[in-house]
Amino acid sequence: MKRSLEVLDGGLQTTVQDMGRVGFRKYGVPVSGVMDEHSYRLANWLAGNPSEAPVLELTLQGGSFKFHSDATIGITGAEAEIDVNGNPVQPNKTININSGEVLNIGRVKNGCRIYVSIAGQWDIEKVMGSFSTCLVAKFGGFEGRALNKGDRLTWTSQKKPTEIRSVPKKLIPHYAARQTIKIIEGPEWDWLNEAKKADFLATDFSLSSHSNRMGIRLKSSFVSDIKGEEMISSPVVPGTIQLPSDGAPIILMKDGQSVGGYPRIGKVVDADLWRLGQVWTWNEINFNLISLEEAKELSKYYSEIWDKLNS
Amino acid sequence: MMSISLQINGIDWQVSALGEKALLMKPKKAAAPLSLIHETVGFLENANITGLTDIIPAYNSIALVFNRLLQDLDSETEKLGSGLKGSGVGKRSVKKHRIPVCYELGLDWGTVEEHTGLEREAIINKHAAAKYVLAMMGFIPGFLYLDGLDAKISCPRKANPRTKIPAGSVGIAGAQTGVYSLESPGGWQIIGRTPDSFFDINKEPPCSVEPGDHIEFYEITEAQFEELSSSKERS
Repeated sequence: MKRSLEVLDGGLQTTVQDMGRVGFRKYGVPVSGVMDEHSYRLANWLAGNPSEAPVLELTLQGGSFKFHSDATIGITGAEAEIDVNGNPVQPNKTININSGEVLNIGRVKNGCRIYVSIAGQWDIEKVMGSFSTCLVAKFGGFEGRALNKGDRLTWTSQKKPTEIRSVPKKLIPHYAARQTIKIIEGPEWDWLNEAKKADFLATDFSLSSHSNRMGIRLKSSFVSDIKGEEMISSPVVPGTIQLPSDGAPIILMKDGQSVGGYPRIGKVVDADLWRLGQVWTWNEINFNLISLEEAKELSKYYSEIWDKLNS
Repeated sequence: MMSISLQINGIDWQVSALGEKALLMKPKKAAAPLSLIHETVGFLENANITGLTDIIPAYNSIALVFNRLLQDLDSETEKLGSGLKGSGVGKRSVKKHRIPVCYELGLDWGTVEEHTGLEREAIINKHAAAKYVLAMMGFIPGFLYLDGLDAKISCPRKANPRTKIPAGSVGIAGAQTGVYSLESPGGWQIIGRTPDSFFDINKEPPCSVEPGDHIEFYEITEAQFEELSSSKERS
């Protein structure tokens, strides 16, 4: 059965995202995809969808959606006031919405991004193997852009409403104001001397409001002493920490480029990257250096959690 | 940072981890030619390496991105070595492209003339006379980084990048020249515009050029630019 919703308010930046695209990096195509993979997978689980189905990613301001059909949805991620036709509803629990009802998601109170899944098959075509919106090149997702008032999203679902599921408490993250993010060494880590390395790891960074899906820009009193070494443009991946000479690191995120011209002093471990999808200017970040082996163990830990949820 | 040595076609490479799912390969000799990078990318593309999804060439290194966690560096390097041995494929064919440029549509002629001390005509002649190699693509989809700019017409990038540069813009930044396939912000000194586009999501692959390809420019008038642009729109 064909179903639809109408966007009444798209908020600051609401885009369709999934796990992103692979295989096109050499053409300069970013990976794209959800900024917070953990909340993304939980949202799909709530709606009974495959764990890598497309979802809506809302940013900071929430949004408002009028449903023209019955729907089963899941909402996860940043904390905000949510209501359906004025009646408060809880996130992290399957929500059944009746045709004609309006879902309102308020401004975030904690965290940065909210994920909304809808049970069923969305009427969106994959571009280069992914449903994700590529904002820089304006393709993928919903017409290659963020949702605006008046847009209609349609999907097909034959299913009766999914059972009501609740995310286990231990899987709901606490968005602490101060976050310690685990990193591994980058190719140019040794361009910093021992004192500078210690200094970097002892620094508390705050976020610049110029941060976005391409990169998280950090501010601090840290001063880089990397001089005279000419950095030639080199490959980067999501999580790569670039250190320009002004000492203000840039962590490349999902819409980041595939080559960059600044020293790559570190990389946020994949298992912590989703946490950065939930930080904003009110957060403080510091880094904890771990080994590659430890980072891989953490990745396995999360894969097991997600696999178990869907088994 | 830990790294392991690997020999490909008699050249020594240093292999290290770029992430939990990515390797970085760098030729050991300092000033390796760009052709070595592209030749090796060709070998890697034809090799059978488990879980390899992306090969990203850059000026002096190559990244290999996998859809699985890396094993220890020794086993990964060994897998690369044996995958390459099995491939037994030679060089990929290098394509040549001739790109029309309307230099009248340049936006930064004043700056480039002042910096190089040359007249516009001389700069155009040098830009259109050189043979370039497509070094890599990046920063935005379909942005062409070209190697081979005449040193006499190099020019530093703008101190204040533009917030919007039209699609097809041809620019200079330092010792490189490049082409913007899409409208985007950017800091290159713009000396012209091409009606050609090198990125189209409806095509397979989405780019009509590949790193390692040879590129030449030829001059067209503004009228020719308009005509070529509108005939593209019609088709």
